[in-house]
Amino acid sequence: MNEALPFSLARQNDLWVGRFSAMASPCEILLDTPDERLAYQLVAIAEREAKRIEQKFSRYRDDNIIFKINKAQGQPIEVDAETALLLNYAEQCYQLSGGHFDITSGVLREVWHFDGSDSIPSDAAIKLVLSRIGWSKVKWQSSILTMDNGMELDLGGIGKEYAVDRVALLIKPLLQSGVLINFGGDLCALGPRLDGAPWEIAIEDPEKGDNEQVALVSLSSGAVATSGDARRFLIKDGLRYGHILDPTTGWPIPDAPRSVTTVASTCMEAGMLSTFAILRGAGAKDFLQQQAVEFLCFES
Amino acid sequence: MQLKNKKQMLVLPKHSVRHALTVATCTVLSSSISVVSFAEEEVSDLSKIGLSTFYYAEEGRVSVNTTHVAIENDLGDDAFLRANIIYDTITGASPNGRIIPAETNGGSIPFTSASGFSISINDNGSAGKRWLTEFTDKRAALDLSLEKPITRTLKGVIEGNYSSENDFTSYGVAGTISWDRNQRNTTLTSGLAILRESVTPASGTPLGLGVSNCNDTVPVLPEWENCNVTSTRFGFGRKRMFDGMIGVTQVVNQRTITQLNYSLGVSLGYLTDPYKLISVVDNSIDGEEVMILYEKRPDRRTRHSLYWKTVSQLSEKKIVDFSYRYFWDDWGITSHTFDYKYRYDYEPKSYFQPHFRLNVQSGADFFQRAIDSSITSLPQYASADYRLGKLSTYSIGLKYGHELGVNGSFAVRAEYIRQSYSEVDLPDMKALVYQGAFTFKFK
Repeated sequence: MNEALPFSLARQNDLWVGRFSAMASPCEILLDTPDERLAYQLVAIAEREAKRIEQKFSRYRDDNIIFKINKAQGQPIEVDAETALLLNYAEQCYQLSGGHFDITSGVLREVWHFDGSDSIPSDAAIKLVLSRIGWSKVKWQSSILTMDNGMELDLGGIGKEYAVDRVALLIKPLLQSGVLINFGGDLCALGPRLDGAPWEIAIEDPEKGDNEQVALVSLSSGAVATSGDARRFLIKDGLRYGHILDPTTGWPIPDAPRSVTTVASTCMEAGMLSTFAILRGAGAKDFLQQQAVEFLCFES
Repeated sequence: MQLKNKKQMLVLPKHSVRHALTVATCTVLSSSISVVSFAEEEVSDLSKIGLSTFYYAEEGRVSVNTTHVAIENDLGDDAFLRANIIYDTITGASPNGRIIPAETNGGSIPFTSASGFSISINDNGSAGKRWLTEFTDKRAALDLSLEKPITRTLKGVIEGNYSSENDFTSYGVAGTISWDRNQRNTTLTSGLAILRESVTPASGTPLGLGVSNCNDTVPVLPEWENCNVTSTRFGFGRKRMFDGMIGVTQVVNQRTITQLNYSLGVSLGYLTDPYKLISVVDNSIDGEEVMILYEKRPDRRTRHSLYWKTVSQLSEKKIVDFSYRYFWDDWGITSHTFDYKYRYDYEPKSYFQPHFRLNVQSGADFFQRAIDSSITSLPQYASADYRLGKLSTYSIGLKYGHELGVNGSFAVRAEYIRQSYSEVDLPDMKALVYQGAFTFKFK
């Protein structure tokens, strides 16, 4: 009867903190409420929604829509409404980024292994993979998708932020006090602390990693997301190759910032702005300034 | 690297990408599409089971072993079904009301024994201990309650309870309504409870102020003339209790909550304790006990109680819980009870909680230590039950609680209690309480 809970709930410094693991990230829900029952309920909702999204859109599973699309071998696949919404969104992001954000670029990981080593793929190998990349080659007419054999979709660049925003949507109507959702560094604040103070979010120094904070963001409501290569890179001949790859070249974005953190009203928006900025390489800061967005940019 | 390739790609939007991105994001998130099949009610609600064992031991007197199982079943939608099952075993000796003899005065006086099923009340063989009655008993009690929201701000609780000992049965129903006002900062509560109890000594209930035993000394009152003849016994004693309560709970600020309750209760029926006695003493022979009567209490009692409680979180780790109760009734008893708890979370999962409690009570109007044998008529009521006399009680205790993962917690508690009697020649009662409790949550 005492079935293990899929998450933990603990009282810490005036907060109920729910923790679980999803989408390969540690996930946390911080609830500024004394109400344990409510905290339990909200964390349970968050955990289930995060796991649902992970299960539905992870490319590491063989029982979901992504697997079905990737194994369709050129056959048209009809997708459900939620998947269609995300594909529409990915298409808009592709256009807004001038083709640099591309959910078909995941196959590049067949040649790039960001394992901290110095193994850089050959030009030939990259060219071969590039032929299987490009959203423009995908036939997408909501809700039917047709994709060449060998191409693959990867919603990894959207999924975590989407999960944060979805959880925020689901729990918001049940809230009586402030909540902070944190899925592996992508955060969303729903209302201030009980005492009216904003949540304080520490931004990590990408050079030092591991909780070496360099800046504090105060947030009562809204989202914060970070993109960067803080922990995944290759170094060869003194050159650092970040893990954010340009799908138009097959190479890491040159002069990309080490990490970009932005603040926006939703986590998807913040995450995509950060990603767009990194995709601009050396132009990241200018881009962010044009967007009139609150940001923190660590240049290399 | 291959920067030149950029030119071959789509033209980058000149203006703010952000606006377009905001629109795109909103489309995904504001869609009314129902992508989740589970609604709130599908979230597994948490149920709890609590097990506790409680040991209460008075020095040289009564000890009680209690096993308590508490189950809370979350029915969803803020509705709860709760059950409490309690099993007690009580053994020991309790002051029966008789005077404490100064010296052994030759032989014990036989005492009418209630030869019940497993209850046995015996006069203690030694004359020096005859002011105590030894007994053993077992009690089983069950309490069921259902809490359910009626509207968004109105909540109702209905409760039924049943308790049984070998010579005692009690059952009751109660209902409470709470009304949240002022954005849930104020809660008004009102409740009503009805209880019926019956006491069923094996040999019936005695006549109030009737003779239990008498010595050879010739008594003076006509009622005492045939005191060696078996005294009149009646059937079961029954009583009914009606209690009403109104209260208000107010959130004072984010760290303080305060509560004020008034309750009024009426008890009707057989309110006498059929096992309590009162000595008749002859003051011409050094106050020697010449006769033993059964006690007699009024058959009606009106009780009032004012209760004030404040819980305040002083800091992240410190919580103070203070309460005061003022009680008075038409038997002439007034009592003040102060209770103070201080909880200190010395680490996130563990806490210590020292406890102090003080109760001061005045005696009932009809309380008297003994009846003088020279009286010309019997008093209307008389009881020498120390619990109705003037007394003061304090207790100090310490509780330690620890969370076990997410699903469980345990707590241990020890308490020292001391009761003193200013009108009665009883020695101070000293008692120790030990308690161990586990709580598990499960789906």
